[in-house]
Amino acid sequence: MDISLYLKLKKSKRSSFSLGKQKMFVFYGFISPWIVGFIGLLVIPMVFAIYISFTNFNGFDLAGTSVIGISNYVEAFRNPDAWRTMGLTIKYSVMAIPLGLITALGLSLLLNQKIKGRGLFRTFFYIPTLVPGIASALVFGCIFNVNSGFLNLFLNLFKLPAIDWLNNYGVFCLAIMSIWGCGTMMVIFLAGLQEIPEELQEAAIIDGANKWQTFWNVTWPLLSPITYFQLIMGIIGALQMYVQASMLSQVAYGKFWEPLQSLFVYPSYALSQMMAYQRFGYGAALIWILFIIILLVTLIVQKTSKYWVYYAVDQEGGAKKE
Amino acid sequence: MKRFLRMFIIYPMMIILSMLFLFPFFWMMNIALKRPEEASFIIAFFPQVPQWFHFQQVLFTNDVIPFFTSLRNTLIICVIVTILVCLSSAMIGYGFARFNVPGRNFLFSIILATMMLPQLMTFIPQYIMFSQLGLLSLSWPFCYLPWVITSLPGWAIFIFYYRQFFASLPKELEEAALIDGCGWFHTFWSIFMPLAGPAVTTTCIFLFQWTYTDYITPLLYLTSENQTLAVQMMTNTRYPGANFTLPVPPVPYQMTVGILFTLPLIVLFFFAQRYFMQGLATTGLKG
Repeated sequence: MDISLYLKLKKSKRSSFSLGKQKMFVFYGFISPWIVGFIGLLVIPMVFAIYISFTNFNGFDLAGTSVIGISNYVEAFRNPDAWRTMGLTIKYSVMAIPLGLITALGLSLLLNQKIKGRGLFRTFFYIPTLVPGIASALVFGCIFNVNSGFLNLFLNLFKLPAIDWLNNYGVFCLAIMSIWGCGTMMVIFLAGLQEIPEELQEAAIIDGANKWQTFWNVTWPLLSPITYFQLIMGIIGALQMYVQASMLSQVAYGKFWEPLQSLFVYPSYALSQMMAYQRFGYGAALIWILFIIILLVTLIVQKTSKYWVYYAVDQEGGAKKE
Repeated sequence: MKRFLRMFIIYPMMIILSMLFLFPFFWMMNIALKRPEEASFIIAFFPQVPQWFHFQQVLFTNDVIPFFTSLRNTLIICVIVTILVCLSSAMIGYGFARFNVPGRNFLFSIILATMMLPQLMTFIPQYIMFSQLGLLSLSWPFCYLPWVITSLPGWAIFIFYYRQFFASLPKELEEAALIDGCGWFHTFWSIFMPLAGPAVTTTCIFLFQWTYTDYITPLLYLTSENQTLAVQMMTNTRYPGANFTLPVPPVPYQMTVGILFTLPLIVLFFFAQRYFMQGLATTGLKG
């Protein structure tokens, strides 16, 4: 045993506190801000949110609130608006997640080549992620605008009729906007690519593998834990995406809480029910349904991960590693 | 031959992609320099006469937007969040990294679980709670109290980040400190924190960036007179004077504010590029 630890143990034996107990005490002292926050800002508000989802709470009058059972949930399943907005959210996710992942992976593979000016190109692809969401909504609003947008100016050059992008292809515009900010994912992929030892790829090439085979059999499996992480984060992000949609709607039509129909995603629906109609109980129920959907989708993806995610280290051992 | 081919495929590809990614920046500038009617109807690609005075009007008059007041409000929130979250996350992360006591792993797995929790789930209940407690109708300096409250418990992702960082330091450090009679907190503050310089810088940069660009929290928590720049730019930008009677939104002015609003982040990025890239790589990979 280490001499210092021995001395410390001996010293503490004399005091009424044993070292183990003292350590316990100090540990909880250090993490106490988190415990307080966890209970006060997470557990209590969430329990409260579960409670109000069973009531007709209007946002300010707690005394006049009455419990109405599961009728908020029943309404959520019956209301065509809920289904329509959920459809839009799913459409967005199906479009934005793969497009974002593929773009980010493609860019990082390009940047992983040994070329001059790599740092400069990396900066170019990363810089859009620094633009505040509202500014990026503003500029994409100006690009997709029906009257003065860049795309319609472009169509006008060829005497083609203007297209109302936001009204007809709102989800597509949102997906494009999200791809513009894929620099974060790209940098994470790039860091993963740079951790792959070069010898492995060289060995594959010596064994006669072509570029595609090397990517598919060496790079992709080694990158799959990162892809998996990004996919999970992408799903969580895309299913609860509403700020961008509302901002784009605000830019184009000045409506934030109740966005344009083509941008009216599910979380916006929940929020508009709360903010515009004071139906906090119903809104909370909608959010809980979304929570369960996100949880289920994440779990399904997690279950499939063993078929396509490759872990170099044993998961149990990896988790316990200090 | 192969190198030649690579030059002729990769470089044009990279340049085209870069142009696509940089195009919105160009378009921002282009719109900001247009006259309002040019920005609202199909007239021409480029402004006929660049309206550089838009920048002057935004910065030096209060006709368009109370620019510096709003910026001050944004910065107050940024300072509160950055300092508090950074310190408390470091402290909590240190606790999880350096004390091997029963219950630690269980509590840490809860933190990891909250990291996966959709932000919407916690945000709305918190908003309802704050409004019930009357925290959202306070006057000027106190209206930022909700940020103090939400920042004190640290953020899960940064607790995780600090925990990884502190766990990588050798065990002898605190043993030596304790033998020398250094208290627990003192050990953390004067031995471990100075070593965490790069981690602190990374954390602060990301916290600053996220808080600076946040739109929905200030929109819900603040009344319009204490509002941050992000929200003011969208909701409170107007044509200077009453000369314009056009029924169109003041897009060029909003864009001007947008450029001035984005610029500090880009400057920050060029000064701290290394920390951005490292921070992203480590937080992303270890997750």
